[in-house]
Amino acid sequence: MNYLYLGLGDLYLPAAAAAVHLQRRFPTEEELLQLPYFRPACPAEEGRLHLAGRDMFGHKVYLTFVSEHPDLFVRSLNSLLAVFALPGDTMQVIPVLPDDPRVRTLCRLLVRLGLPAAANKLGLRLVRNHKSDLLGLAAWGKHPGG
Amino acid sequence: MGGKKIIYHCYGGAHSSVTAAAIHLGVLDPEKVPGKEELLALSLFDRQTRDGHGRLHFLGFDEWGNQVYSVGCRNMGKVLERFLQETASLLGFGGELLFVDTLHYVSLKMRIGGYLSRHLGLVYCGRPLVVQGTQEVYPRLVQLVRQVKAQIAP
Repeated sequence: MNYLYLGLGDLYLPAAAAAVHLQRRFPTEEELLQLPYFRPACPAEEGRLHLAGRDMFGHKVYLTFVSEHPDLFVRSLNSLLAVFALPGDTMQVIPVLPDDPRVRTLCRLLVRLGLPAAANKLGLRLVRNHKSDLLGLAAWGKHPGG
Repeated sequence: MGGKKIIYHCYGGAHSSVTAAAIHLGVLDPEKVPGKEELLALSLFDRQTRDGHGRLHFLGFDEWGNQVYSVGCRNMGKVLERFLQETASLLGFGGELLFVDTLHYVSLKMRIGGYLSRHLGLVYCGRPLVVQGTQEVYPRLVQLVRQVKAQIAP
C-alpha cells in the first residue's frame, strides 16, 4: 500500500500531513522547516510525486500538489488503479486542502520578492491552523496495521 | 499483442477525444466525415458530465490489442498526464500509457457548443454546433490518429 497526500496550490500542507503520518505525531516548527518539501512549490512541480519516506509498516508515503481541480486527480488515480486491475488501496490518495487557496498566491509573491523565509512562516501558520485536520487525516490512524 | 493504453484526452472528454478514439478503433470511417447520427451513436459523444471528468473510459481494443481510452481533463491535461505517468511508473507500469491531447483540434464552434450543451445543459442549441464543429475538424483528427498509429505500430 502507498499513500499520497495531495495538496492544492502548495506543498506545505501535504508535506506536514506526510510528516504527521511518518512520525505519528505533530512535528514541531523546527522539524517542519527541516522537511525537504516544506517550501513554496514551483509550477513545474505540479503533479510530480515526491517520496516523503516509508512509514513504520514499510508503506511508501508520497506527496504532491495541483493548482486546480483536486477531485479530478483523485478520480483519475482511482481510475488508473482499476485500469491496471490493482486494488483500490494500492495508492491511497488523501487530499489535504487549504480553506483559502489564496495562500498560494501570497507565498509565490513572497518568494518573488526574495522572501522565502516569510513564505515558510506563512506555511507554518497555515499548517498550525490545520493541526487538528492534519492529525485527523493521517492515514495510519484509520488503517490498523498500516 | 500490444500492451499499451492509449488515452485520448480533451477538456470534457465528450467530443474530440471520443471522436479520435472512435477513429482509432475503426468505429468511424477515416475516409468519410461522419453524419450526425454516427457521432451521436458514440456512447460518450456529448454525454459526458463533470462528475465523469478524470475517469478513464475504456472504449475498446485496437487491431494490435492496445487498449483505447478517453478522458476529460478540464484545463489540466499536461499536469494530469504527468501525474498519471509518474504514478504508473511507481506502480511498475512505466511506459504503458500513451497520452494523446486532442484539445488542440477543438474549434471555437466546438467550444461554444460544448459549453452550451455540457456546462449549461442547453443540449438543443449546443449539440448541433458541436456536431458541426466536430465534422469540420474531423480530417485533422484523422490525421492525428494516423500519427498515433504510426507511432505505436509494431
